[in-house]
Amino acid sequence: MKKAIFATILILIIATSLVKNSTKEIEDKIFMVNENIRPLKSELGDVLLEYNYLSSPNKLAQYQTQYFEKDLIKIDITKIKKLYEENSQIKISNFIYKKKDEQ
Amino acid sequence: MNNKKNNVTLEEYENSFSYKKSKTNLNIEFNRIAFIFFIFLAISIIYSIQLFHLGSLKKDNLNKSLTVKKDYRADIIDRNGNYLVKTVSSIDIGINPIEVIDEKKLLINLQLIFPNKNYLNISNKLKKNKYFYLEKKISAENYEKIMSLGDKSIKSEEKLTRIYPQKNLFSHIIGQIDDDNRGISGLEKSLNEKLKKIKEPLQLTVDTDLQYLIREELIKFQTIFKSKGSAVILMNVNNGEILSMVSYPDFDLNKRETISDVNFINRNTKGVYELGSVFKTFTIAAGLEEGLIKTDTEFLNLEKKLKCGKNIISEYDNEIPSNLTVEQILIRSGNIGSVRIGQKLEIDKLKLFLEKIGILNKIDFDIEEVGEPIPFRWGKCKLATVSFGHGITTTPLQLAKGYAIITNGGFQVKPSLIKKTLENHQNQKRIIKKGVSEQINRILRKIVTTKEGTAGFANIEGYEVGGKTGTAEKVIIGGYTRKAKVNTFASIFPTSNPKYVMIVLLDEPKTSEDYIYKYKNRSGSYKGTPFNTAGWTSVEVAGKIIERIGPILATKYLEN
Repeated sequence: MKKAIFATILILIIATSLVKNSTKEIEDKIFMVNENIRPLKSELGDVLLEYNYLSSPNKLAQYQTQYFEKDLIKIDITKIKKLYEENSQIKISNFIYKKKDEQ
Repeated sequence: MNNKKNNVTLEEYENSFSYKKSKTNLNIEFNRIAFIFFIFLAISIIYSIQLFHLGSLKKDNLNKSLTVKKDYRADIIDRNGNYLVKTVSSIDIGINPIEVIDEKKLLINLQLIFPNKNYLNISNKLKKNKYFYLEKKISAENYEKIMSLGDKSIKSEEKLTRIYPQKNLFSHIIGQIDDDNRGISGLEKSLNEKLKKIKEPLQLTVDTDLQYLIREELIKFQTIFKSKGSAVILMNVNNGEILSMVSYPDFDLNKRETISDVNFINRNTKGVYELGSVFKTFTIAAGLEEGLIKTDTEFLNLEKKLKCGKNIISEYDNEIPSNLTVEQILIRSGNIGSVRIGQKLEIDKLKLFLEKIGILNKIDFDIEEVGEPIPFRWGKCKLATVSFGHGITTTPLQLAKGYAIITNGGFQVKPSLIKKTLENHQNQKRIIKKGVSEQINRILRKIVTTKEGTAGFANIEGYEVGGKTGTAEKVIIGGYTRKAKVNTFASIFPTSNPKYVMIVLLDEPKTSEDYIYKYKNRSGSYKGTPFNTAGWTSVEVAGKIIERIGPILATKYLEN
């Protein structure tokens, strides 16, 4: 009985130290990864900010007048079509259908 | 002779001891092994506790150990993840004149890096022997150049700063911060503490593209109708998410100017206006809600003029027939008919209805710049004027909320700028009877599609626009003035299953002699603005806005 208790406690001690050791290693790895992610996140934020600024509607409109001769056209919703698959065939339908009071 | 012998005696002691407890016959024997075992046991228990403690720690607590930079505020993004505000670190370059060794050499070097600076001024500052800033928010390129000079007197200071990539676009929503990093207006003020605490960006409900297109139209029509200011709110009628909220004139947040001119207020939330006939929809909705009227209920022999106290209530259009149904009253915007419906309702019912849809009291909103409708005493004359939208004030935001409730099936809605989890009708409270919305929506559609309706210019093909116009004279000391008007158009679309409510308000618009109107319900066009009414101003603006934002709403937000 005594031996069994001793053995159990010994196993627990060994297991605890092993778990603790491996946890520490994982913690170190997590810390390293987090530290590596931090500057990348900051860099990504800055790049996104630049992208958002350069692709903002205001800038795009500015580029359009600066680099293109033709004006942008308004999309007429009645001319938008929908593509869908039915019985392995691609079909086209209107995006919206006119209501009675619009005809 | 004392020959004493020094004898050393070595005795072997038992390295064990025993403890006996007579009563229980418990016999514990300690020895070295047991002692070492207890030491290990104690250590293992300590480590186990530590392990358990670390395992039970929350992620937030661990993150607290990371230092938060002073002046940090969370970024703000729109509903599509585009930055509206971002905190970035910037470097300011200062010079400490006491540490300057060779002033002449320093000035020459600086001139090579910053050729456009006033070096006479800098030289004077150097002579004063006081620390000063040479360049704030220096570029990375110039920072490298200046630091490579290796001059001890040049100091660099890293600071956090707020960048607003959309400039003016969200000025009233986001608001400003002061030099002490405190929010002084907009969300920066109302969410001051939250923005300092949270790590992740704060997501709003607004859409940058929609906001830009709407603002562009407002600027265009500002030059046409020369109004003092204008405002537009676009809101989802089902969940109260505000997709766009533009108030013009606005300001560039990056400039950090002190705004004291009241013309720059957020007209959507802070502006309290008499909005006129847009209130007639509420009077009729209240009548339908109470079951006192139906859309085909006839009102016969309606007078052309009514006298109430000192005031005379008359029709805007003298051609309006004397016999009208409820539907025709709203389509033709009849004042006297609306008064009759109001009188049928009586004060309590109309007041309760307006309170229920959030028109009369100050609204609880995400930003603090919110106006309070002017309180008034109800009476017979007040009931009459309120029925057609006069003598009662509210904000455009509250008007949008009211229209959302009466058109979405009667469900409570809370306008919001901050993105939350998707809400649907299942957890929304119904506050208006089923069926009222369908009847109202049908009439609102007819106001746009029929010849008698006042909002034909908003009949944009494909979007089923419905709405009600409101032209109100502004109050000056001693009464109303015909010279200054507030023209409003409250629209919903698509009327068969409303998704959006849009309020367009023009503050003191003027008529235009050159603007060419293109008729929507018939062929042809008309040059010049014949009447300074909402039908000829706000409706035209709303139509043009819907034409531009419609394709985005119809395709991008198809599932919402």
